[in-house]
Amino acid sequence: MSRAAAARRLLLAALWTAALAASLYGLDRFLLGTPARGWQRAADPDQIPAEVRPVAAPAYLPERLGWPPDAVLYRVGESPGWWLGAGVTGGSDPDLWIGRGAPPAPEALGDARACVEGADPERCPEPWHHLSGRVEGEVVHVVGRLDPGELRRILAGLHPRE
Amino acid sequence: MALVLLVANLLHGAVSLVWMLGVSRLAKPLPAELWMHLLGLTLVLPPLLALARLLGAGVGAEASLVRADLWAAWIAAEPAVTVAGLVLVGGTLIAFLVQEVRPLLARRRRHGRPPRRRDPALERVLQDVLDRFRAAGVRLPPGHRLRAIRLDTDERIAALEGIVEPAVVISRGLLDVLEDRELEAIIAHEVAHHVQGGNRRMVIAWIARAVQALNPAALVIFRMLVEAREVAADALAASVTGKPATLASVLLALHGPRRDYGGRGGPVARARHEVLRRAERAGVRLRVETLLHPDARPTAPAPITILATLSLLGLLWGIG
Repeated sequence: MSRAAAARRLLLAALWTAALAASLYGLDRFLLGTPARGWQRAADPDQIPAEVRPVAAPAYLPERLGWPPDAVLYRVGESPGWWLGAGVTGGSDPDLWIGRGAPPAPEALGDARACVEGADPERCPEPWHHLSGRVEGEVVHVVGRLDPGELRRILAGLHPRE
Repeated sequence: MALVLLVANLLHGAVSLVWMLGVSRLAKPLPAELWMHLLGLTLVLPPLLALARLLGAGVGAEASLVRADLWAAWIAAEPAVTVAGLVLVGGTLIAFLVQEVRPLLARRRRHGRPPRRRDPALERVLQDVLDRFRAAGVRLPPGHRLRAIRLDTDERIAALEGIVEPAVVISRGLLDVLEDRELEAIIAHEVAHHVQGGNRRMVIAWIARAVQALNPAALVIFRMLVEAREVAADALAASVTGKPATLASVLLALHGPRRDYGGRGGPVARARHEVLRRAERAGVRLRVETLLHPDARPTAPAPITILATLSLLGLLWGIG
């Protein structure tokens, strides 16, 4: 067999491999779509996708904090997570965040991000405090501009939201 | 996780098969050993990739060609698709059990184990063939010396038996019909099996296939590998002996009209046996055509084998 014929066969095989790879990629993206990346906002906790649940809800909240939460964030994909932000009624930024998920935490947490992204809880900047516990086997964080005793009561009362 | 691994395995099998068929069409005729090597890889790689996935290796979802976890989630969420999938894998498992268990039982019922003897004349022919392989620069596997055994049966049997102490087994029924040059060709074919990995390689392939008993592509690929193994042994034997036509005539002698398919029974049984006979002839025709093809070569250059291996690995690695 001539070298030209052998080279032609090699080229055809390479083109076939590339075409198959491209077809697989295109078909997969066309049929399944591309899920939104990163943290997404939702109007309320019921809109958080099922694959990210269960979402924890507090049995106890200080009276000055409003519920349902003002901010609802979720992330799907390889590192699913959710965050609920509750603030003083009529206030702007949430004073309490309850959530779970691997770093990076949502930007909406602001300074409180350092509380959950660092291994050292002492790194939590003032006036934020951070506690974490398990709900249904998942680690859930409670981060708030609240008294640590209030945070402990909130954490103890967390339960899976129906 | 189990569903994701199953879906990934099904995808690996399907993509491998499509890729192989495309390559064999566009780049034919593929060297026989390269074809056999690639088929073996398509069986062995998917379980290894599943193990790698369990250990945390693999491409991220965004870089994947096919996102097996999303497909698994979609299948789990669609009842009709879930049922269809269960039927597919269940049927495949049944086909696997039927393919493996039934022939085993039938063989045990029919044959028993005919007496075996060492045959000095057969040993001399084997040594001559081994010398020819060495003279052709073919490296024989290290380890136990290959033996020649004669089976005392009228059936026409030629095989490489054993894994630890392999032996070339030829039946009296076959020795009675072969000329000297044809005997040399058939022994060269069995020695070629030994050179190309022997029964050890097929055991590994069978285990890889058994682990993927739910995957229909794995069953198809295994059948293709069984045939490819014969074609590769034909090609190597023909290149060493320099007599492809002799080996082709031996194939026809082995699978000639005297082969008894037990065509007794009613019209349905006889029709079934006739179909089996023609199917076997079709398999022989493919081997004979391949032997006599002017461009047939047993091996591909090492860079081509490496390139093909990496291409297949890259494709399968991209299914994450």
